[in-house]
Amino acid sequence: MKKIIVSIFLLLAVFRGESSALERFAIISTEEMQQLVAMRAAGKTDFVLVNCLDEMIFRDAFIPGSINIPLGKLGRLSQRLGRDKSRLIITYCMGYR
Amino acid sequence: MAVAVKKLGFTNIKIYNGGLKDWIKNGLEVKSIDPLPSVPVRFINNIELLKKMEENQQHGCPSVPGENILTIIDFRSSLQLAEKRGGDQYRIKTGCRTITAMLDDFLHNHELVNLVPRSGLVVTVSETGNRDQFLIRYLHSQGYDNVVGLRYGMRGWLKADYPVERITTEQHR
Repeated sequence: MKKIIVSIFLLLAVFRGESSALERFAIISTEEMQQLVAMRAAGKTDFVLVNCLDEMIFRDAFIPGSINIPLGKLGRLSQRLGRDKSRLIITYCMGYR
Repeated sequence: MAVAVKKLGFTNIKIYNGGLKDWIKNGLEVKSIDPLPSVPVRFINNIELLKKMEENQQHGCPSVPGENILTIIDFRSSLQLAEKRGGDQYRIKTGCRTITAMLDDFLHNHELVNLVPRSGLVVTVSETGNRDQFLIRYLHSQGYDNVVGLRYGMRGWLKADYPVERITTEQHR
């Protein structure tokens, strides 16, 4: 019984740690992304689309209207996100592995 | 990335999980600034690389200019991230030459590009083998046709329990 209680406490501790470490963000599907890009092009919505791939990969191909902030360079390039902290920001990388 | 952006104080963040791969797969429009050449990208398995390293190391893996036998380009981003945290990392243990640099370090950097030998086999090593095609295609645009990627990258090498050596942050500068 003691072992079970200890195990439950350990599990709770692990999951509590994970939930604080893992942030929850809304996920956008390809269809939604396509609609958002079209709506922005028509001036019906506004957001910052952030490509977080290496610059070399970005220069090869990117979703229209993206800005490039490679992972690890956010500190140096954060001004590209603008000053409005409530503006919608959508991030993407290469995708499913 | 989203977590890092949130830490800057931004409150409305979403993730397009499908990413560039899914966007292209769906035939949607992409833009390009400097497209890389579409060339066949070749990969080597980790067992093949291990064999080549062992063969060459028997002869001390000579790296005389113009006579390079085997060179490794380790361009894992995780090396840079580890450096920031001050932690150590592991790389493939080899007596052959290893060039350590980030992918973007090669962009318009003739000095670095010229460190890559034009003879012998050059093997690129990334985290999982996903980004190798870009470095290989970029080097091809610079006249290199002797570059191949390591299939499944360092993850595959570690999984196979092949030889590695610890590197400190000082060593990969």
